[in-house]
Amino acid sequence: MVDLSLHEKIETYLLGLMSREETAKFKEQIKNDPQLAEEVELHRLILPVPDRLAEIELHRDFKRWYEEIFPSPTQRIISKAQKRLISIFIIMLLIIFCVFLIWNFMAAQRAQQKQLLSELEDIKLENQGIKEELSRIQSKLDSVLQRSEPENEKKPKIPNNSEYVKLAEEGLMAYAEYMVESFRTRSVHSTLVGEKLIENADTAIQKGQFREAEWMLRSVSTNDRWHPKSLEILAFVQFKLQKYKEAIDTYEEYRKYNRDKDKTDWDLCLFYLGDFHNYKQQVKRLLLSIREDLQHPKRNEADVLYNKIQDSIGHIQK
Amino acid sequence: MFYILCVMGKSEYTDQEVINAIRQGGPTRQMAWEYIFKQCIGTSILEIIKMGGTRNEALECFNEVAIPLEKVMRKPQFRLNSATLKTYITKCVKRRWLRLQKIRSKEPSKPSERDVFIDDAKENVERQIMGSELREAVDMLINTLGERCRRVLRMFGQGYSMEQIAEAEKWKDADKAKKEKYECQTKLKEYLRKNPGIANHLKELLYG
Repeated sequence: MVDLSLHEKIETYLLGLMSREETAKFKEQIKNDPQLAEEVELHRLILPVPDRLAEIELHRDFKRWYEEIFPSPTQRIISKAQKRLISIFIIMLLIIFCVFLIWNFMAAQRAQQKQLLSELEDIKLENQGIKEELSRIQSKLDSVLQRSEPENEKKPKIPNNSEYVKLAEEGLMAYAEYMVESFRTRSVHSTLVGEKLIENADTAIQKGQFREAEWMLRSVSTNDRWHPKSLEILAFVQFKLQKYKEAIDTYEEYRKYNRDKDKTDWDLCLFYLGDFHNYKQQVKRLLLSIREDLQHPKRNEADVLYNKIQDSIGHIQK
Repeated sequence: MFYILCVMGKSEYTDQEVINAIRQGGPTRQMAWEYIFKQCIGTSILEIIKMGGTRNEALECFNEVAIPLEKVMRKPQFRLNSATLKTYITKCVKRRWLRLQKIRSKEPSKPSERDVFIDDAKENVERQIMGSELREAVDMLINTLGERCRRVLRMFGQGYSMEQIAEAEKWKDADKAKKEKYECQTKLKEYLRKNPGIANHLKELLYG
């Protein structure tokens, strides 16, 4: 390996940059020094390297300048077409995005509208049902009122039943208050037809309009879940209308739905009392059964009633 | 001067201004080559196409004559007495194309021109052109170098001074550039010492 100064000297000699005298002298040196000769030879071999590197770089520049002067037709077309395509693509994207937004908004609006319409329909149907039922009841009531006045005039009160009726009423009033009060204390505002009718009947009972109440209660459908309740109240209303036999029939119908025998036995006994002359046996049977049952909740009331009417019952043949 | 003229936006230069710029090396040389290329490539392509060649062949020939042309132009004795630089370059490209047609055994569509020996130039550019085999062998040597060595030697080949190389590489002075060049060239020599076969092959290609 040679030092820097000799290296540069060799290069100067090989590039022909030495003077004549220097060149001759250096040639002599090379002749006499084989190592130097070898070094010169190796340097000669690597001389093309910088030129080749410069050539590679120049060729790259030529290619670039060539494309500047002679851009390929496809390049020219593509560049204009590219710009056009990109702008069209962007515009289309914007349009699609706007359409999507509008479509979403309108779909939401349509869904909301549909929901509101269906709710409106439901409310209309409900109102219509109630209206029809009320008009039916009203028409029945009117016809009955027209018929019943003469009947009421024809049917005389049974004076000999009046004391038993009073006794029955005393017992039934407390029961009636409990019966209707339990219905009134419901917190839910009625929406169903049967329930609505009972509610209206209750209003009529409070006003003393028992006939109206009777027809409302009769209008409750047997399929309605409030039908048993309507029977229970109807029996009381019929009693108040002095339709004692009908009250008994109604209450016996009601008993089929209510399994609480303790309650219903006593109530039925009171209803029988309304038409005592026709239901003496039944009154006696029920009173005796209640009195014999030491656990019966109405045993005391039964004792009191029995004491009051025992003379009449005592006269009945067993 | 040429650099200043380029920066000032002058579009026409005299042949001597261009030759001087080539000799100056560095960035000025780069600008000079851009001017030469853009002035001469159109005419060269036309001439080659007239003779039955293609645009790509014209560009290939231009590539091949560029560095030898530069070497010739760098010599102090180079003079253009009657022909313009553009004419000279175009004729070099044409001559190269004709030579290549002979090598590839293709007959040109028109009768071949006799080899033009430009009286103005004392050196024949054709002789300086690196053959493809030699080019490949030199490329193999270049592949043994790192990126920094390639940059330094490339700038040296492009005629950059040591000061210009030091400035480009952000070294403190020209001595550092000289030292780097020396080390890169020493690496190449060491490689050839270790691979005598490659050295002999290069020798054959260089001297025949």
